[in-house]
Amino acid sequence: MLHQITEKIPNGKLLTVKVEFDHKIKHVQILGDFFAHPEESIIDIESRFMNVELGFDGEDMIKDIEGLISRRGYELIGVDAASIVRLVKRALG
Amino acid sequence: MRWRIIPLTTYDAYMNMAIDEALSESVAAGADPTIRFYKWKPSAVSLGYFQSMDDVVDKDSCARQKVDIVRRRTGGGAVFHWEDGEITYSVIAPLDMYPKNIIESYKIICGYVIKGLKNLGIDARFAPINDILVDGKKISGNAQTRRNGVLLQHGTVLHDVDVHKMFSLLKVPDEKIKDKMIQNVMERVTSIQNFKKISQEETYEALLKGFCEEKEYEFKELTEKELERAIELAGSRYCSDKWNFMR
Repeated sequence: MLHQITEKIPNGKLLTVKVEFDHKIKHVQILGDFFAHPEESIIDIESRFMNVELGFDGEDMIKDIEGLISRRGYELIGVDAASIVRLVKRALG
Repeated sequence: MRWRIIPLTTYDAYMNMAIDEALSESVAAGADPTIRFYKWKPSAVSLGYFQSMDDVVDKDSCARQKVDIVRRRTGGGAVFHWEDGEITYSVIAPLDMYPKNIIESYKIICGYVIKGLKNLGIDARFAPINDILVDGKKISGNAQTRRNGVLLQHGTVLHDVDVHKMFSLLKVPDEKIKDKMIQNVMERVTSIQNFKKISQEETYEALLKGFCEEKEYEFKELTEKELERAIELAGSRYCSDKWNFMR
């Protein structure tokens, strides 16, 4: 199944997530008019959702992505880890 | 620090994006920081790095209207680069010339645009993250990438605007609210023509003055090597479906 959710992040940018899943998440695509430095960092963030259980713990995932961003010196502008995780959760229903 | 200023040129979308990348490589290899001004012929839609081509652009309509489509190296939203309606600039410089804080660096570079508009008697202000507003309406959008120790910021200044044409090229989430969305954008976007009836050339001259102010600079064209590299990048990357449809 493929579900897609779009939201304008308050004080931020437009964020769309496309989540492909069956009994686990197969792939997440993070789209929109936000900025990420370096741009390839978004692929790294998307990969954190691969093979994750549908009922994953949102707080843990936010911490995981924030840790990744901080360790690798990534910078997101107009979106953040919490908004990405929230939309993935919404897409999963 | 001496800047190279490349005066206004006109290329197609693929070459314009390829020139920005070729210049970034040049600056990374030690060339002078560079500012260039350009127009797009034919008119084009540029897509932000993270946007989905299929979700955002009406490809059939672009083809019918002979409007090119290209994905940028920078994030941000889709932009309609109307041949007669805008001036685009790029600033390409070593990262250490600007603050590490990205918004602060936007503010400085957008300041050049604001000075240019001031030369026309238009009072504009920087609106984070990446916009420039006049009377609360957007007149310029800007986008930045940082790679290999080089900052590239490009942005457009609206000399004139055709919101109906723009919406005929972009997809809207719901056709039923398209008219409302057009109305909404018309209320939030402005152009130099709304303040001064001047030519595109006069807009360019004012911007050029704003960008050059308080800088040591010389006017220089692209080098032969940069042009060759740009032609190569236009063909291998910016014309390719692999790049343009990667999201």
